[in-house]
Parts: sequence; structure tokens; C-alpha cells
Amino acid sequence: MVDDAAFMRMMLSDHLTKAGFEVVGQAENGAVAIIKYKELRPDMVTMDITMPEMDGIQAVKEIKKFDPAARIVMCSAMGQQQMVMEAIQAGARDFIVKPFDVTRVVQAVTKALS
Amino acid sequence: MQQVSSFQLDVLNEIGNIGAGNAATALSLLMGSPVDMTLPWTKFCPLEEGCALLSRPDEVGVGVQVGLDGSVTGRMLLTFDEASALHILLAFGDMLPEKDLDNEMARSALMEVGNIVAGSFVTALSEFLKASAWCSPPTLVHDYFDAFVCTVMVSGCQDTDYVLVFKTELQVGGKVLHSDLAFMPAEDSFRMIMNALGATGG
Repeated sequence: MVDDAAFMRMMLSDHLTKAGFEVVGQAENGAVAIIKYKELRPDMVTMDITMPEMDGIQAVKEIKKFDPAARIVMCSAMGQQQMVMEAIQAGARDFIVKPFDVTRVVQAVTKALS
Repeated sequence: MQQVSSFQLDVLNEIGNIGAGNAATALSLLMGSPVDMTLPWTKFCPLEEGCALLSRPDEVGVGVQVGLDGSVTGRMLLTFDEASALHILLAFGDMLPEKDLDNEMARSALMEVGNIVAGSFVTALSEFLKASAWCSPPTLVHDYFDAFVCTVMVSGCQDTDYVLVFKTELQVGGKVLHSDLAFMPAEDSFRMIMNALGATGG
């Protein structure tokens, strides 16, 4: 779970845990996300787009270089359609829009894991 | 001095109304309870006037600052008085165990509120300008208004001396909270806005 906002990580973690998923790690920017991905090898990643140090699009590219089968769902804010498209072109599987709608989150994660 | 006509100000106010509506919808989803946002007024004014509008002498407040990137650039500052910021934290209910302005999670929640409000206004403005823009990660300050408002606004107005100020009212948990949103555009974005306003007539 990658997001520079601790509160958003907490909310998303809460939604996913209640839906039966296990959150195995969190990262506050793209650079930490790459390190944690290599260490934890999660089944999937939720990735914020705008973050300090390294943004989500760059992190997707780096993770996909390391693991082409990596499953990544982008978490975008309003007005970030272009960036979402860039992330999908870089290999992300889906996107969810913040603030999170629980149903949509679970749907996107379930689909990404299938 | 740059003047805008009353028609052009109406256009800016309408952009603000769209932003406020989008922000209210998003905040309702974030907080899990109804939120309404209205815009009593909009001003396009010199920096000095903008600073005076947002400053509240001898009062402590919270400011959330975001940068704008993309085709529209600049900086935005959303301010709340301390009591309003605390009320927003209360409105999160059980989602937020600690409702203290010095608590990291509480500050993160407020930054997210600021991010959503600024992002909603940025989206409305960029759609009007037919340009793309997005917010950089927010930062939060909790201090006397005099200690941060003018510093943030002056540093945001590096190229121009004009700010767009939206006076907003947030209805959260049955209470009306007053806040101010200032947009300090970079020079090329300032020209883009003036050209677009000129094209709309007035």
C-alpha cells in the first residue's frame, strides 16, 4: 500500500482488511515502495500517483522492470486522468479514485488478483 | 493594476462553485457523512489585499498548502481557524482515533481534506482553461495566521502580484465552518487565466 498520506493508507488498509485481504506492507513514496516490493513480494500493490521523492508512475515502471508480473492498482485523485493513462501504459492494471468508495476498491483489488 | 469586470468575476465565481460542489461530494465520501460547501464570494485582487483577507490577527489557524503542476502552475493555500480544523477532525468520528492537531494521523487527515478541496478547485479551473493540472503533495502548518499566511502567499506569488481568493463555507456535522482558499498563479498561468476570461467576454 503506497501513499504519502498516512491517513489514506490507514483508510485503505481498513477497507481491505475488513474485506478479507491482508496488508503486508506500506510505503510513503515510490522509492520506498520499490524497496518494500523487492523485500515483501506482495500479491498486489495499491499505488498513489503524486508523492515526494518518487511518484507512482516512476515506481510502477521500476517495479515492472523488476517483476513484469507485478499487479499494481493506481489510486488517483480528481483530475489525474492523464497520469492514470500513463500508469496503465507503464503496466498498472486498474485505478481507483480517491476518496475511496469501498465497493469499487474491493472490486478493483479482487479483479487485479484474479 | 489588473482589473476584472463583474462578468469576469462571475465566471471565476462559477468556477469556484463547481469546485466547491465537487469538493463537497468528495469530502462526504471521505468523511462518511454529508458535507456541503458554498462560496459566499470570490475576489481577484492584489497580493497585499489577498494577504489581508486571509490573515486573522492574533488567531491560530491551520493552513494546507499545495503546489500546482502541469499546464497550470502556482500554489494554493487553504486556511481554517483552529476551532474549525478541530471540528473537521471530530467529524471523522471513529475513523480517526486521535483528534489532536499535533497528532500525525490527524494532520494527515486535514492535509487530505485540503488536498481534496484544492484538487476540486484546480480541476474546475483547468477544465475552464482546457488545460491539465494536478496538485503536488500537501504540507500543513498549525500556527498564528500572521506567522504563515503572508509568507506562503508571497512565496507563491513569485512572478505575479495577483491572487484569486475564494471565501468558502463548509457545512460539516451540522456546523458552518469558514475557510479561505487562495490561488497564487505563476506568470504564464496568470496570463492564461486573463486570456480565457477575455475570451469569455465582459
